[in-house]
Amino acid sequence: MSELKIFVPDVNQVYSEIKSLSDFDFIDYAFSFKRRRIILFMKTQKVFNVDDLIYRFNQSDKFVSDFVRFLFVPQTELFRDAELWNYLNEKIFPKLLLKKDVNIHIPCCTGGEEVYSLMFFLGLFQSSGVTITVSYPLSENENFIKNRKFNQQDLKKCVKNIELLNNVLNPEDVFIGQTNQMRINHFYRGNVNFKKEKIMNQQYISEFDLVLFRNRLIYFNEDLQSTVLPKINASIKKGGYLILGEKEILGQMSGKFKKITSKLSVYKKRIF
Amino acid sequence: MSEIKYIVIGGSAGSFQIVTKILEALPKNFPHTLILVLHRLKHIKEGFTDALTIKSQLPVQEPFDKEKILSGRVYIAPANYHLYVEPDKTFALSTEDVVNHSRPSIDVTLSSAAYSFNNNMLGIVLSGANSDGAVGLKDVIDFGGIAVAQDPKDAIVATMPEAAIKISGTKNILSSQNIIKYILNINSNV
Repeated sequence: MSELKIFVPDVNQVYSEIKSLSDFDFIDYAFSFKRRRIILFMKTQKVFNVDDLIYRFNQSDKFVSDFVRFLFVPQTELFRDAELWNYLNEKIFPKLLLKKDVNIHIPCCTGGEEVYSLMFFLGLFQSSGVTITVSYPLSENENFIKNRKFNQQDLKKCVKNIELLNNVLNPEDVFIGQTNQMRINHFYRGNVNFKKEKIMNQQYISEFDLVLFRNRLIYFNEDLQSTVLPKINASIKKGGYLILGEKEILGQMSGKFKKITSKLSVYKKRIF
Repeated sequence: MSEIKYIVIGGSAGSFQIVTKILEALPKNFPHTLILVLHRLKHIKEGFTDALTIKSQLPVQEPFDKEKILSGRVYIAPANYHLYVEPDKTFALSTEDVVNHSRPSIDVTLSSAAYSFNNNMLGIVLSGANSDGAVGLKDVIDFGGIAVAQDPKDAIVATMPEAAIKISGTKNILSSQNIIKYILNINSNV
């Protein structure tokens, strides 16, 4: 990392260029993340200064889209934070699934780990009244998520999570198929809708009973968090649930929700 | 030289004992910020911070995303997240891929801290079994901070300080006892 010295003006210049050459505005993403992604991308592409990087952006749409793709970090692993999934499985889903129609939203989804973790657990209830809306930023995300297969490396990442799940005995309960082409062995009977959208441009009105929005706010600066959180709040029905990453906070929206467990970032939207 | 206000310590296998000794030695009125990036199992969330809190007179905590960095505090990188330091002196977290098989990665924190704290920082790499922290420690030097590596002869596992010395070129190679003294007298050392 150290050979490439990238400073504030370089970072601003790169993301202004990306904004002008693509549909994506990363200006209000967290600075250190943006800076590191530039450095890593330049290293992998063997580009040694910012002028050359910008020249390459202007020469090739593919180069721009490769960089944009590089900025959307997928969720790290299936069943990340097993204690959260245990809590949802034991405390939230049984209550939620008493309703006839349940709408769940996973915004800013790129890799599918959250979708399949959710489908696995909802499948345990065999309820057909659930609709999961998966919204994603890049056109390619939909097919990737729909056809997502998992390999040994993915399994290695999540095997400890699986061991910590209550009522799931071993990885063979979770995966089916050949090594490196495994799928999640779920019995989810509801619908999954895919929508390409940018959360910052959406206007939602009390649509969802649960929003699973983990480890996405961390990539935004405080300004963008302040734009996105009210939209997330507006999207959730009164009495509905919001799940954030364990180190994310609600900021200005904290008065709208009640944290219902001290150790996990599970919030219930206040009725009044 | 500028005043050191921020100390970032990276450690892996064999570093926990030294870290607890450092925390034990820091007085209640220690005026600087200590940021610890210790390789840890991603599933062990409870107990780790508590174990360090017991040893410390300073408040010890895992920071939340975008939390402001305060003096007289000890911050520990949370399990399974990378910990960035932002130029506005706040923390930012990330779930990017592992670096040097680690999340949190010492390199990620040291490099961003080097950029954000410049010559107000001291970076220290302790015992460990891989090369995490070496590139970050070079960044500390490149951005004007002070870099220290634990003496490999004093480290339980020498690989990490050896890599840090080799890649960063630091000449500040200290035993664990001398690291503690160095921290306690930091602004009379510089």
